Amino acid sequence: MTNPFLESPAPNFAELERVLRGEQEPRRVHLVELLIDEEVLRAIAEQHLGQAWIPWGGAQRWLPPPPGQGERYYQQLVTLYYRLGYDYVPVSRLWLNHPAPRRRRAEDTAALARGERAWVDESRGLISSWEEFSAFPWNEIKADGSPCEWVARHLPPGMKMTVQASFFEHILENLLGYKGLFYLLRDEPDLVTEVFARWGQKVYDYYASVIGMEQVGAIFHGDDLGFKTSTFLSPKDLRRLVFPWFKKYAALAHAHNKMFWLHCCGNIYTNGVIEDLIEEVQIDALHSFQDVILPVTEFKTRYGNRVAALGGVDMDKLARMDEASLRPYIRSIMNTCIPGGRFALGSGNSVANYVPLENYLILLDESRCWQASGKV
Amino acid sequence: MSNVLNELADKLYAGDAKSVPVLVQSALDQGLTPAQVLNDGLVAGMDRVGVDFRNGEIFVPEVLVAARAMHAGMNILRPLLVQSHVASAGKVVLGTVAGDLHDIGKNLVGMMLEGSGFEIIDLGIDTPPGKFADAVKTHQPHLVAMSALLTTTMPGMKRTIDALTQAGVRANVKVIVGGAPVTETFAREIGADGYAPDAASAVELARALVGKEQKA
Repeated sequence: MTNPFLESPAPNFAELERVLRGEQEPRRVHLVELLIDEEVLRAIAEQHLGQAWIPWGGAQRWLPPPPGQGERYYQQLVTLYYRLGYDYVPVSRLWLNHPAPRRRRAEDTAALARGERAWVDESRGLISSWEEFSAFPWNEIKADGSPCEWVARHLPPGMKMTVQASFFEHILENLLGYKGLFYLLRDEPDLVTEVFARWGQKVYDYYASVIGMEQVGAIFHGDDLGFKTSTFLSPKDLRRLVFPWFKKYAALAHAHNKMFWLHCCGNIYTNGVIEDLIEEVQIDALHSFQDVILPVTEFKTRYGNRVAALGGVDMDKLARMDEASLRPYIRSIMNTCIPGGRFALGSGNSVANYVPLENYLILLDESRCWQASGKV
Repeated sequence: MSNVLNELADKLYAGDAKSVPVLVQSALDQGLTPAQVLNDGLVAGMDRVGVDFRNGEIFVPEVLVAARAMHAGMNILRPLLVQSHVASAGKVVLGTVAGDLHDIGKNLVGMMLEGSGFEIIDLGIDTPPGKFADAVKTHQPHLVAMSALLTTTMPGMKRTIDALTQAGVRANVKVIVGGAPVTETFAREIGADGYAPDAASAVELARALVGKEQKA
């Protein structure tokens, strides 16, 4: 694929919505991503758009950029997503005055390496006691909706943005930490309940502040709930601590006649919590599929009459397959999932910087070949 | 099995870190040997934890608190096991491979193995191939267990196996691998001796491989 950009993009978020609701067959293959790593977008911008990359500019991705820089950064994202054929731009929130999370760093081994890869310190989070809970700056932490305003000013007709935040994962990775949460559930259950209540409300308040914007098409909430074989927490704890908030976020979106998409890694099938998400939370679409857990084709067969599937191209395959294997694999997903709607194509998780750029471009190319073949 | 050992296994399963050391001491005071207390009390409890975790009946928090209770009991038992020359089920060098910072999965495997009587040398996260090779030379384990959560760090497993070969110690150890993107096929491709999809399965795999080695 020499040039990944469309000559005449025609974003149509309204049609994407109808397709995902199963109200119409797709007229083309709609694309979705929760996240395309900056290194990937930068490589595409520089190699195919001939533009110098405008960096975020903040000291960290979750910290605000210098004045004016954020809008220029998002303007370039709008251009890239538009030219690549997406119907929306994913927009993250900024948490102002949030204490810096604990991080560990290692050399990045990705193809488009960023020098070092950071990950949370899984051993403990920012809060491990009632004293730390009391000292935490709950009231100072504000969600900054500026990115939504920046994007709104540059969206072309037909295109929308999705807004995203995380609740459970933020608590797991930053506020309580993995081990912190797991031990505190036994040692200080009331503290856990209180942290979930506080952060759940923060996320709700953020969504409430932006969901009314005409340019916001959907909430694309991101919360990994588990791993290859199970969820981190029991269904009982998920139903007590997590799903009530998911339900509120979904209800908020639905009250504004917008969709609630959930990005959720982990095995949510063997213990049946997928049914909670569909029936109780009332998600409109699920994102994140791993073939070793449940291939998207199987998901479509089992649940495709009730909820949409987003993405589906397994990360490991996207990262490691050669072209001769990857193309038929992607076609097999489209053959199964596109008929009847309730599906949009993309990576199973994200276009991470360790996905070879050629393979991501193959994914885009296959979506267009399918369209050109007249199957849709 | 005596009542005290049954109760010990129950309390360990429930993650009761206060009662477990008390019951360990009580079992010893009743004349049971350290090996009996370990195998029929602590390991028996952790075996139930492993089975129920694999079957989806309990979850990560329950495993962690059970492992914490196990540690509390082992603090009393470990010196006595050394004194009485009780052999461990096997020695395992464990680590997350180079470039990968995830340690929950690795820690779960370590806890389950330790709870099943294995001796663990945990090299931590972001472990270079040479560090695994050095650890094998130093500690002479039965097993090397590697974890990777990211596709981009999986090649570190192959590089580690190559490093073991170059160091001349590959034939001395069995190598097992696991982690989110890792599969049985990948394990075979890189020349590992085994793959486990979860922590409880890793224990079964380790027992089988060490058992084979000890019979050979």
